[in-house]
Amino acid sequence: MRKFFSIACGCLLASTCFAQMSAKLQAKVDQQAKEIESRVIEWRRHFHQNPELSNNEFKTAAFVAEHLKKLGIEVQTGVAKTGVVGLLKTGKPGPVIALRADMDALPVTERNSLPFASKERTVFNGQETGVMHACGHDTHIAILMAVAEILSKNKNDLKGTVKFIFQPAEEGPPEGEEGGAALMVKEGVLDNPKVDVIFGLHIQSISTLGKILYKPAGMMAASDWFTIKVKGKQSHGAAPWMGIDPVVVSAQIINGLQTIVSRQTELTKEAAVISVGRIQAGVRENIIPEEAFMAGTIRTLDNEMRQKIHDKLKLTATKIAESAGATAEISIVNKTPITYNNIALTEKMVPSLQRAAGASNVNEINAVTGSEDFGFFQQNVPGLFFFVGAMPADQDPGKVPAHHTPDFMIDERGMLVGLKAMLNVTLDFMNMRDTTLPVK
Amino acid sequence: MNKFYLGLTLVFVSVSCYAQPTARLKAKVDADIYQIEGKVIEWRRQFHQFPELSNREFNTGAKIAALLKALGLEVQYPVAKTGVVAILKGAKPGPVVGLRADMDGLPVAERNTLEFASKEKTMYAGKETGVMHACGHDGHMAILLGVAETLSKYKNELKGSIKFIFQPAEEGAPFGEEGGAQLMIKEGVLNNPAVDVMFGLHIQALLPFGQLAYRTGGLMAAVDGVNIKVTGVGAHGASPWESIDPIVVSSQIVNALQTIVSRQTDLTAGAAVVTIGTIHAGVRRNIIPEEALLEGTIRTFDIEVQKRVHEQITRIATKIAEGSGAKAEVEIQIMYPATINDPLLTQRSVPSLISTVGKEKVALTQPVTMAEDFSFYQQKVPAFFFFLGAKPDTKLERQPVHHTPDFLIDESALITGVRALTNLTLDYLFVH
Repeated sequence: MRKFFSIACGCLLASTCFAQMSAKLQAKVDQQAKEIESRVIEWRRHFHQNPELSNNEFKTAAFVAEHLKKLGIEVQTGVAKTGVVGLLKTGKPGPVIALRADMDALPVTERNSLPFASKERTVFNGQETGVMHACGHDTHIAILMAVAEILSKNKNDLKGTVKFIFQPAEEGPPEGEEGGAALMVKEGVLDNPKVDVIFGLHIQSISTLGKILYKPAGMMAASDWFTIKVKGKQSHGAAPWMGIDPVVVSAQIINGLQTIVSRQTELTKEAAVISVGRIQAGVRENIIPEEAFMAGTIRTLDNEMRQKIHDKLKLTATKIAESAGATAEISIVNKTPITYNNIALTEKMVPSLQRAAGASNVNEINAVTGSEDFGFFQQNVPGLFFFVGAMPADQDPGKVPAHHTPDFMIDERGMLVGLKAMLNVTLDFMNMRDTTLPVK
Repeated sequence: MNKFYLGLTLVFVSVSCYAQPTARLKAKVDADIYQIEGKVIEWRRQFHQFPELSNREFNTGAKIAALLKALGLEVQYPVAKTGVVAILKGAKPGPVVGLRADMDGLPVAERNTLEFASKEKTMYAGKETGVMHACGHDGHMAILLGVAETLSKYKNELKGSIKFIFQPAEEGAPFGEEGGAQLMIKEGVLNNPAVDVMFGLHIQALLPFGQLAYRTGGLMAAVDGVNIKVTGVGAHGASPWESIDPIVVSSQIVNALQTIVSRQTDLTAGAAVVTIGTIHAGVRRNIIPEEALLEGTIRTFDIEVQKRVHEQITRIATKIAEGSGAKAEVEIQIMYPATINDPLLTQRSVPSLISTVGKEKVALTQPVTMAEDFSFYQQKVPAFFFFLGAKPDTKLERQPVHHTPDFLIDESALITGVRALTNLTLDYLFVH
């Protein structure tokens, strides 16, 4: 009830003191958004037909850079391998707003019979495979290109600076390479000029067309990867007492790990997940191997919980191994941080989203245990990430092909909502009197 | 092969040079035993009808002491609370053979419709219960009385001495009391005169009637107790993260304990068992309790295995608890050692069993995971323990097992017990 009331207040305030973008400008960009829609669709189809894997987005980047240059935007290429950063300076004082789109496709073979379906093939991890924009990044690029075009057209009505970040390798760089948001941050994409706030979106084939979905605080999970190496003592399978069986110890560890979430984690605060995805040990039925190897992922939505779970995972595995006379070597790699939406920023921007999609179409959602490397930007600057619904209209919601699958498909009309949302949050934030945000 | 050959040689030796002087005596004694079969059965029925619990065998002990005194034996009573020890000294010098029977009944309410079924009732652990000779100790006493009566008649022809040991509390003394074989030894039952070897038997309701079964080495398991207290942190059942849940930790411990036998014990050195028999925690469904208590029993046949199992239980419980931030306190209670038959004595005893029932009815048995406090004597002197088959000829689908209300034996096996113990004694005294 209280929450509802504060949102209602927020709306009221937005229409008075905060919504600084003039009605005239609003009407103009809305019109321009509608006009550009067909080109957005065209761009998206181009990218869809020519997908490129993470850190190999060469043609994609060239296409983007070409477009930005034509708009008169200052362009940096080769940022974090294939990234493109465009800077639209208005010359007037104001915040530096970064807008991000990710550019990479996936090693998935498209099964859709679209005229612009991907026929690209490549070799991934030694296997021949198709390449497909099976997560919708093609739409993200197209939307951000349109945002750049419309904002540069209206440059004289703007304040501050807009930084367009076209990011490679959101899905993760190839083995042994750096890449993605982490590398962009490392290469200084948030500096010169220093970014005050960042916005990003993700199209969703599984959410209703026209919807904008968001969640304050942890929206998408941190993804950490762990490995556990259990060292026992090898022996003949017929004489287990001569050895220390790492297979049985591993099974006990996997069971023990379940109790971290089930018993030791405050699930009312946030959800948490520990999954062991791989277990490998042994070569032959009648040999008890010397060691077993497990690998898994940890998903958390709160930094304190994340640290606690890491500690508990180490304790559980170590002690269970010790209980059998074995040892466990544990390594945890922090892969992706939490996609953490700054609470104050989220509250401020909800009215902008509502204007883009209609108030009833903007919904707060539960957290998602998938992860997104947008969190690397949010670790450094306040940011807001949201989902844009684009479920094909004729789809049975129960049977929508999931992201990362060969049948993944979106309704292209969703892009217009995304475009408007990006324009609204940018223009509204730009015109806010007070753009200081508390850290959280 | 080697062993088998050696066994044959021994049989041969005992039949040829040594057995000759005793053959006539043995035949005479054997014939005598058949004369008292009715008496033996009658004694057993009396004991059966009036069973007494461990360390409470007052009437039983008094009756036995009176019977033994009447035979002219030197009687010590009471020994180890309610036990009776009688010595029969032969005319000629020789070794001292100890023969043992246990005396206690169990807190089990008899369900048999025998004329002499027990109607005794008592309080046990705060509850009213029947009392029953549900393990056959009544038969053991009757058998040993039969041996005493028989051999007493041959005092002048005997070499060495025979000590008849009627022992209380084989099933375990009541909480806080001493008792059983351990207390008998403590009170000097193996001294004055020092016992050289001991024999004992146990009636088996599941072993075919008339069979004698034995085993070299570990026959019955060592039994030890384990208590584990898992201390966690209590909390509301709805918010386990506020707690360290001792119930989940306990179940992890119970699971992990299985791996001691399955993965960490050399089962070729003898079987091993770790059983958690009780687990108690909590008072209400929505409260995560602070602690959980587990009680278990450990069965082993080998001292090394026993030691290692104890260490592994301690390590597993401690570390698994630590893995969840809980604490486990492990207490191992050393109880009865394994009943281990002295290999040499077993070898020379087998011919006596064969001479009693014939070769076909002497069986090699698997070890059993039940325990027997006869093992305390075996720790001090070479001793031989064997099973006497007394399976009743019933059409029952499932034979009632020991310690149950329907436990039943075929009384006509008792005479075989008397004959076996008598033969073992005579063979040992004369062959020695």
